Amino acid sequence: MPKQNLVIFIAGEGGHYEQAKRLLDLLELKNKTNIVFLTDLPNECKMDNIFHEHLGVIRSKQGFSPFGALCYFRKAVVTTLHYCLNYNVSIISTGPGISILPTLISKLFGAKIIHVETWSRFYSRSLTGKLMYIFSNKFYVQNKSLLSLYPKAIYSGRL
Amino acid sequence: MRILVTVGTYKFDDLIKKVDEIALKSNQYFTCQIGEGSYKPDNCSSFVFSDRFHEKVNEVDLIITHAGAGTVYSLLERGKNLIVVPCLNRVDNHQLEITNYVVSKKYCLACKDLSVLEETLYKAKDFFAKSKVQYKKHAFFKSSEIIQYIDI
Repeated sequence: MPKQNLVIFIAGEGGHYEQAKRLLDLLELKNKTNIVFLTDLPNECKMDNIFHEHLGVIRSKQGFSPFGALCYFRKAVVTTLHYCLNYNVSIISTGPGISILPTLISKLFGAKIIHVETWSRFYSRSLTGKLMYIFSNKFYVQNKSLLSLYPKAIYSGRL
Repeated sequence: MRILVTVGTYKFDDLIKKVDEIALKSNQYFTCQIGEGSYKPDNCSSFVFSDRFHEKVNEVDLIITHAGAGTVYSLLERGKNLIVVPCLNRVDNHQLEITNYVVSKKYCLACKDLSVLEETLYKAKDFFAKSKVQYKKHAFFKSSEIIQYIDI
């Protein structure tokens, strides 16, 4: 039996999640059963009717958490492998760094990778952006000023 | 003037402390949303988060906000008058980039140094009466391309 298509959105809390929500709305997908969100968001902030996997928190607002990073690593590997083995996966990422590991694993399984660089960047590249630029099939920027920093990027307008 | 201060999900106690100092000697009505911060102001009302946040936004004349892009864009889209205060203790300075952008476009005022917040508040009335430019964005137009590409 052929594998079903699955779109994995990866979006951290705050503005990253807001961008993913806006993008999901704009895509106007009628069937949301083939969408999964990987996130580090608290439960109370998550959208209804969309399945979410909580990856853990690598970096709190106060700084890096080694324990959080270990939990994230395990959950990200297990979750991504599960989906890649059972579905035809496409990745849509709005950052931040929690996107990188699931993207790399999915890439090994031939997934299509889309990254939308964060709307808060105008004059410099984010670390996530630098890495996702290498691995993405389509890399969108929301601010035209970033085109000089990411020459192969596609300008998308702002979410 | 009714002023709402918001820090989103951040901890930005320095801003709340400064507003508390200003509120002590001001006749303006301040409300602070303090997020994950531990400092609760003595001289104005405060709350951590609220389901009524959108209503509170509608009730005020001016908003002092941290420079989280989601908050800044959402409030500008609603036509609110803002003073953007970047939280420069964050792990990187991306709040500074969006602050510089919105100020360069004259969408709002900014305060990068809390010692001049009171002075910025004095400037606000004049700025929003005369110089403010309405926020306009070039809206996202790549949805069809993405749908076609992921074939869903």
